[in-house]
Amino acid sequence: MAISGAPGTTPPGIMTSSAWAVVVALIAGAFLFIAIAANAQDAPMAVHAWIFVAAFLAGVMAIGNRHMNAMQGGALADDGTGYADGVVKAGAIATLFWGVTGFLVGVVIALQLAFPVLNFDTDFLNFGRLRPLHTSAVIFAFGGNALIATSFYVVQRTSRARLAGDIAPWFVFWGYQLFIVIAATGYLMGVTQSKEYAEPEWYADIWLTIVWVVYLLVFLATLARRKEPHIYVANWFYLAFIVTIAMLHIGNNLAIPETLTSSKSYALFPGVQDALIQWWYGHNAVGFFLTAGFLGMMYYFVPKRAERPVYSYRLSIVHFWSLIFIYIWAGPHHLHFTALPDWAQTLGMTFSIMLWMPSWGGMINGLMTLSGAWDKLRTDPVIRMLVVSVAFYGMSTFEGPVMSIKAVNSLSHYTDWTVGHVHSGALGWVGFISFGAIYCLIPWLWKRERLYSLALVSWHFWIATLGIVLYITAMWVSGILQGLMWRAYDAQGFLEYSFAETVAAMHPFYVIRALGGLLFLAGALIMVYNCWMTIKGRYRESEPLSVPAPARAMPQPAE
Amino acid sequence: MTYDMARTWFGTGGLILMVVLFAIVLVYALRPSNKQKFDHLAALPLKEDGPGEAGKPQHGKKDTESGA
Amino acid sequence: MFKKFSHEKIEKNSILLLILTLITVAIGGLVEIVPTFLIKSTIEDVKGVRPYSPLELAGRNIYIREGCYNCHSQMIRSLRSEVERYGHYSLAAESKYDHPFQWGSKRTGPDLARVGGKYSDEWHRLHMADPRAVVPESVMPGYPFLERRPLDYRNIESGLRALARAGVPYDDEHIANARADLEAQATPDADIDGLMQRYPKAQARDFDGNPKMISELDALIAYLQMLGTLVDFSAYENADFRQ
Repeated sequence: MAISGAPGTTPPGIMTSSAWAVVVALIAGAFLFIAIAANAQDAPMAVHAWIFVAAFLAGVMAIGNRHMNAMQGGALADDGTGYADGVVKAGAIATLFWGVTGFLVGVVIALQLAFPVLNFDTDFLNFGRLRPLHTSAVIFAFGGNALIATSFYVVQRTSRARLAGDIAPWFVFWGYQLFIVIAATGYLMGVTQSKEYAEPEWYADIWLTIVWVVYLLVFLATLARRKEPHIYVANWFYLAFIVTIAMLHIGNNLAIPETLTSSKSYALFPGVQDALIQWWYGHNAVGFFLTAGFLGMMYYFVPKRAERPVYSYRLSIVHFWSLIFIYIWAGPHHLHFTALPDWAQTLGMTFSIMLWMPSWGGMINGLMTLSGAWDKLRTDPVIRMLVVSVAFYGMSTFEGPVMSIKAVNSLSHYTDWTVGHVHSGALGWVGFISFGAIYCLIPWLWKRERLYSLALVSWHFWIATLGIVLYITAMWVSGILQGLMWRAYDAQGFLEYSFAETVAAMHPFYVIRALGGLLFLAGALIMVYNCWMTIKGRYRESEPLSVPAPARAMPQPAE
Repeated sequence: MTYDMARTWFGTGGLILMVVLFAIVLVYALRPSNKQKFDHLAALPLKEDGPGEAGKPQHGKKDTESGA
Repeated sequence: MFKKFSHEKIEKNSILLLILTLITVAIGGLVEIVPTFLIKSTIEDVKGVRPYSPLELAGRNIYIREGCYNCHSQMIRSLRSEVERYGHYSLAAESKYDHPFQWGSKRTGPDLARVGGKYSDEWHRLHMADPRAVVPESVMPGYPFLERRPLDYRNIESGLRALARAGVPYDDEHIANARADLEAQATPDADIDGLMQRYPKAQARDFDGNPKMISELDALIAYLQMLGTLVDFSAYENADFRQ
């Protein structure tokens, strides 16, 4: 990959020797997958092999095209600022696309739980196959693209250096989209390892490992050529996210394929060890993907948008090291009262409770960065979104340690309370901080004065917030209700409710949850429209101009 | 290795390790000599320059309340 | 030592930051995961647990393919209400041949760790075709296609071989007989002596009500009907298990 080439020697797009190496590797890869397709043991493997072939050949053509354009002196889209922003633009659009897709599938499966007839008795559209599609689409496709795009933007600005490599960042972007497509189509065809949030099969995992290593190298090489003497704290969080996810991904996906042309594999480790490794992975996917990565986002976009320095840089150092050290121990709280040894359960619980403090360190730093600029909460709905996301972060990182206490967990585990907890983090924290970051990025990247409409941002904010509130309150009630029903005894000392009765009791809450999800999706669609119009260069005139300009003193009417 | 031994060793070891690490980080973060550097870093996102240019704060006002 | 220590170096050197981060995050995982492999008492010493028969394994793979783990746990916690609802709490030993584990994390439907023998084959057949026909409150998707689809077991030997590589005690005899064992277990009146000797307590019959074809439903019901049936808990006192 053209990662380490000195900047400015070859114009972007012109093929260097390393670009040729990439082309050769892609062609070789295409031949490999043609061979796999020809010998595929099962239909999904054949489909996936052909997708790989098509993607690799498209990659070769794209590199060739880029070269031809550059030779003819055609300006590259990302070359105005001296920063490589083309890939960030692509990432912002991908974030919106996958966000809407993931939320839509979420609404579908929520409705399936409320009205099971919507499974239509099919294989490829049943809940069991769509649920991993939903979780992967929102976590990895929506969240992952948001993280890759913002990390590429932030590392350039805070290092004051152009992104390392010419093809490499694009390889990361398209390689990651290819992984998503392989994973998503696989789920629909029933290809899964059954390890939650790590469902893609062995060959998709190997591909992601390659993409991820290039991502790490691009990030490190960009840091290495920085003009700032110090590495800004947002980049610490991004780096911790990238490197830890690499470790977790490899550790949890060790598996033995049935054959090298089969889409089926068997996990390397059995039973209790496999469970512990899975939740070491699963919990830290939350810790390092959904927390550390998005804290990196927070540490750039909140100060930037609020036009205030980070509240306490000291606090950011302390909470970074304590967060990454403590988080990694907390996984076993997913396995309380199971066949996992007690000492591991106790360790998991202890560290989960301790985790509360570094988490709130991050929250305090994010919120207090607004000190002296609180009025912006009223005037700038983007800031409001960012701040409320940090508040949701604080809420769910308080709820999490509470739920890790064994007595609480005995009630909450296996119920919708867990689902509600995840969504207060996913919709409130991850969703809102990403929305806020994208709302910032779109005008910056496309050189627009402002967004098409701040009023629409405000609509998005309120509709989505209402959706989250409906979602998590429904899940609190249904989770606690079902947990209590499972352990209720009648006067004779027998269990009071059959399992089926507890399922029936969930119905109204499943309907409310679906409604909440629908509102969240509606908000995201408003966002897509708003961003689309902004990119087209349109401004909605009917509203008072607002934000970045600090001089503007006129308060906006309350929405 | 018995269960009790493992529990003691890994539990205690982890605790000591964490305390040492935390102390190191705390000493560094609270050393007064680092204050200036932290103030510079805290305002880093506010600087808006092209690649390779020297950083100047976009909003020159130095904030003395931050980093407290 | 503290005086010489300089965080400045970390802040200035991205590789150092990378390595320190990696060490920091590796510690917790190593300390928690490695001992479960080393400490013998992690997995109880109980009799009866054996690798899955080829038909059960094929059924398990369908269970995984359809994402059943999304809504069904296979892990009875050591809580009174769970033991009374589902049976003896799950032992680590009972999943020692599970690659991957199927403990689950959510009970939209009930726990299945000991569902084996609780319902008849006929009940499972009706339930899979239309869950609400037998449980009106159920929100489970219907799987009517399972009984129509012939089971694809062309690769069953490769499956056993891969599991053997991961440490499951399948030997050459198991692998050589995999196909015959699979067919014998799902066919009425077949010769099952070899099957029973290789996989004690295996249940052999036509599971899906259609003896003419080995369907995906045959495999899935065979798997469900063996869950939790291997350990004879009447032979043990609770004190025999570390808890």
